[in-house]
Amino acid sequence: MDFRYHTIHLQPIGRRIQIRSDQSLLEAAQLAGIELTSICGGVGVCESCRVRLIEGELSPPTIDEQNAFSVTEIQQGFRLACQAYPRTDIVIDIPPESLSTSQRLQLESQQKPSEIDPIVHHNSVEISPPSINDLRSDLTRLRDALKPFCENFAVDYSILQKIPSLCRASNWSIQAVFHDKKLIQILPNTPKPKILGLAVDIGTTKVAAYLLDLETGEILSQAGSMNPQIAFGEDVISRISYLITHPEQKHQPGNNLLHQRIIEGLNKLIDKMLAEINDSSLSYENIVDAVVVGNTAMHHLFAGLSVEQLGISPYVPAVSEALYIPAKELGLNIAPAALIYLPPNIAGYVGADHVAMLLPTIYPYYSDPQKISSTVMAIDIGTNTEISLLHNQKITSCSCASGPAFEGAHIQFGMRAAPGAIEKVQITPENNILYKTIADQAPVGICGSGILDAIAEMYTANLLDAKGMFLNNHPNIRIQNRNMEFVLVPAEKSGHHQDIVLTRRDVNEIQLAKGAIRAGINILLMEAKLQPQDLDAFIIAGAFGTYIDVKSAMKIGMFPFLPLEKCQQVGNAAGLGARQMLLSKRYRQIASELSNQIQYIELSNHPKFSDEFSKSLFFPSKELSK
Amino acid sequence: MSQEIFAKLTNSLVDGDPDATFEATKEALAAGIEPMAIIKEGLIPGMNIVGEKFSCGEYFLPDLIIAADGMQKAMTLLEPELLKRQQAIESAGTVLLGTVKGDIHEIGKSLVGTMLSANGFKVHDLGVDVPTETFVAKVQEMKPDILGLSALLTTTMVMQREVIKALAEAGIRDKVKVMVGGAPVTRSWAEEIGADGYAEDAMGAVQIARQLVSK
Repeated sequence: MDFRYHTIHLQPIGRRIQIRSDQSLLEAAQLAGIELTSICGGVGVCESCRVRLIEGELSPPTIDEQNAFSVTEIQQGFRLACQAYPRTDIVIDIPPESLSTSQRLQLESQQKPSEIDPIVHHNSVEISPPSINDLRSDLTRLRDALKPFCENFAVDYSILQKIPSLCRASNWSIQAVFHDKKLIQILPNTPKPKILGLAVDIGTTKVAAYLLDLETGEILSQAGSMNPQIAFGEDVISRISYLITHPEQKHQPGNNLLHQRIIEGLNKLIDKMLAEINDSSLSYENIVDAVVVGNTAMHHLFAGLSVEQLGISPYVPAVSEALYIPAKELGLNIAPAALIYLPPNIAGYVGADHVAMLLPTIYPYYSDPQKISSTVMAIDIGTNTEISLLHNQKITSCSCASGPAFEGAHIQFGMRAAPGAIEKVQITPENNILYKTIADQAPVGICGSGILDAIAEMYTANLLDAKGMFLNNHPNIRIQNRNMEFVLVPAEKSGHHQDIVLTRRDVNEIQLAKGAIRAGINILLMEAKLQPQDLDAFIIAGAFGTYIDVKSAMKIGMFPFLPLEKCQQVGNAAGLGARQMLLSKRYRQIASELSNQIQYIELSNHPKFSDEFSKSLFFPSKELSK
Repeated sequence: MSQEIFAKLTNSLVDGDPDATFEATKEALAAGIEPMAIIKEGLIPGMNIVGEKFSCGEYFLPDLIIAADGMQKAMTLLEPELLKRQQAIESAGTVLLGTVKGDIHEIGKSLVGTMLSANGFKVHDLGVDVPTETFVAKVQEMKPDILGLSALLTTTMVMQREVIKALAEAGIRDKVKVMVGGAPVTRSWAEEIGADGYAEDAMGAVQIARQLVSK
């Protein structure tokens, strides 16, 4: 029988695999080394291998699937991976609950916010109940009781609606929460009243969320997930283009499927964090403030603003100033009248997340008279990489389209940082290849830090030339269909019994990504008339930036050669900045001040960009590394 | 003797060694070889091998860039010599080239320009983010054989259709062949918008351009 082959894209892991039309999606996941939960072993009984079809055509749903899903779910594309066979190339989304092992997500940041002075404040009051001699309205009664704390405050309509019932149910003992001079929440008084705040960093690929006690600043719970929008495109441009080409997904400006998916995703994270705190006195009603940061496109998609104009030059954001949006307008599951704070955006591709990232990285230098004359560069590596330079008390910023290669996309055996991903590689002087995988499982693919190491090691061992061409002088280098490839792990040692290879094409993808980043670094330095050695500090933020070997990044020319003591890998600085703004209204002020004074440099039409990018594609002279 | 130098020139481009190209060009001139022959017998075959290797996935962007760099270095020596002899490089045709409005991607389009120049086309590069009206006005003014439209984003490739429409509205659609390219552009897209030619890469663009001018 004649079988057709189809490519299956497995999102959000970012693996691609070719299967025959008589192989199920479950087999595709297994071949790709992804541990999809399958308790019954693929006979359609256990209903645990749920996936969602995003693009392409599958065999029609079986009876088992019709039993497993509601009509709406089937319409939404939900399938059992063991029952579905491809008819075309397919993109599927694997929900986190269908994965038997979770992805490694970056949540920790080095420092803790120290300053606690949130914009919301709360007061517990005992209200005198009405009587035949006291006919004041419930609201007047509340205002009078709160007079010592806040006068002439505005009242959100949703609060007005619940005052009568809540006051009576709580026996006239309540806790009032104000956002500045607006009453945004009333809660029954408890012996130890707690008000919580939510800080969220929406990355193009990953989302990190934190629930904080707004009085102590303590992180009560944190959770991470993949950005559910990934199934609609790995980078910002492809998501925008999805919206342009699928106008039927848009109900009104900004309210599109991508907006809905991120709100749903965040609501799941909120549920998860509340469940983890496991305190019956706390619910989403106690979450009275939120700060959400993301790049400009993520910011707009979250806020329900149009992103179409961000997809074409001159890439203008709909809004750049800081915003306060009531939670109920967006459907975010926190106190409905809570005002979600979105810090300012700098430009079309430098967003509020970069402003947040500057608070714990650049701002400590900027604000300290002893250090303000320092020259500091801070870089946040992601699908879009943003870079800022502090020099002469001024900050310049740019954004580089580095692409998702470091997340493992477009790399033949690339994968995100999940168990079984090769994360460290070393080639010994005897030409032996050593590697380490995440969770020490049998290798199934290679993640960003591993690819970076592998290329740096191959270049150092003279297996690659400066152009990225493979030099045929190692037993593991071979030619496959005119293409050179390097066998990192032979089939007998890999988790899926296939050779894990790195091809010239893969190396080229990394050259494109690192070339874009280095061009950005060079142009910021050039504009300030600086050399790399003039930098007093080089701060590397972001999840990928935390795990990479900085020496490898220098060897391939992604970063300039600098003494290692000048380099700091700080983790998710944007998340830390978001928490600082949640806990302190002063930091919100600083965010606005910083964003107003930052000079943005658009790289794509910079006269030197093409030159710098072309030069930066090559690997640097090995002499420099000595 | 000259065969040996031609081979040296060709190999230096294929190996991506611009300094060697420069030295071989010097050597060729010193040996009394005509500049036009150096280009035709030494350099163009080298650029074409690089282009073919790129097309079949054996070479990548850095290889193309470094070969173009070698070609450019050689031309700095050859152009004054051609001028001295009052020779112009024989033109295979004229091409007007640009990246469409809203798109500021430069490199792909410039590589197409380099490969076309290397193969004897006279190339006018209008740059990036070129308004539709400018394409139309320049076609009217310069009367090129071919108009090349580059778009690197799925969000901007629609502008290729707009330019073709605008040419038709200006009544000059039949005066110029239009070829389109760029990462998101496909053959079916080119057909859909009524372009005359599509190529996947810079080498393909040269072949298509040759076909279009011979029609």
